[in-house]
Amino acid sequence: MTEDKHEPDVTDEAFATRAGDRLRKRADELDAVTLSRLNRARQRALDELPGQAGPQRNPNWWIPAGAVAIVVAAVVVQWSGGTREPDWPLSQSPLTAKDAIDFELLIDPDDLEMIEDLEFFAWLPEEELETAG
Amino acid sequence: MNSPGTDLTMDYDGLVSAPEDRKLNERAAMGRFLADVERRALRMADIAVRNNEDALDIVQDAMLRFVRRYATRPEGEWPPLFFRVLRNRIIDHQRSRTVRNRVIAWFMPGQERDEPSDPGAIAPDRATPNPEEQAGIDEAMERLEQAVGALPERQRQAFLLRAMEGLDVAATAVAMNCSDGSVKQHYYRAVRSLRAALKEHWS
Repeated sequence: MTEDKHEPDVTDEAFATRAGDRLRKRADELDAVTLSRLNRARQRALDELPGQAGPQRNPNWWIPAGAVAIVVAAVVVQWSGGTREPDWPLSQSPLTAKDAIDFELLIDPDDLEMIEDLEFFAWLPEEELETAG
Repeated sequence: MNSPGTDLTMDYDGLVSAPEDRKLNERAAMGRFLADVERRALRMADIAVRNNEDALDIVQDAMLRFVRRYATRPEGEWPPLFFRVLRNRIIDHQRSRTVRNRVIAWFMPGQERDEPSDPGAIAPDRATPNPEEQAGIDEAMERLEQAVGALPERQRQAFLLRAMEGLDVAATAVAMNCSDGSVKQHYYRAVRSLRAALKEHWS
């Protein structure tokens, strides 16, 4: 029994050959857009080859990723107000120590009392001059 | 000019090739292979899932996975291994679509069908001089692809891998992850079913 052997006869093979030819021909008639998308998919796959400069295989992938992360973090810190105190030692700052202290006095709302004291200390000499005068 | 300790080899042209050249050659070989199979792979996927966008995604995913997993294997082993990866991606897609349809059917009765697109959705180039003749060929092709798509999964795979891709029984068995006997059985039944379904159009 042919059925039991699972062996196609001559006409089966002729049919399969003809159908296969048609299907291959159809596959070769894809439109330009589809071919372009296939080409891009192939190039992405080729970038995954060992030693290729793809995102999965490039050992230095973290360099651009790290740079982006640093920039994003800097923007977020800047946007959200960030830390109000400089991270660097005052001696290495482009500002002088006096400038930094003045700056802190200006921006720190907790030091309003100190500002009032400063006004008091500024008033004292004038008061002394008037008293003396 | 060869410096001591440099890893250089002589290729068949007698040219000196460095490791970088070998990488380029490997990339070129893989590129040729993928370019050769990608169109037929797309047709296989499209016949199976009946959706051109999904078929493109499947082929792209299959290429990526194949390159990552099997690029270092001997070139002669690539065809059955690639089509095994493709087959697995198609099966995964069909399973996920089935699950999605069930979930949609559960929550939105009557709207559950994730309908396949037009069977000819991945449009072939229609630039053929004789419209009537082309119409007849197109109709026959539509019926053939519909009939192949209606085959049980294993029969469809066996038929497409043997008849369209031209793999032999052993390679088809590797691609389908089954025995040679199973391949012969599925292929035989596929051919018989197709002949019965298309006898009016493919005399």
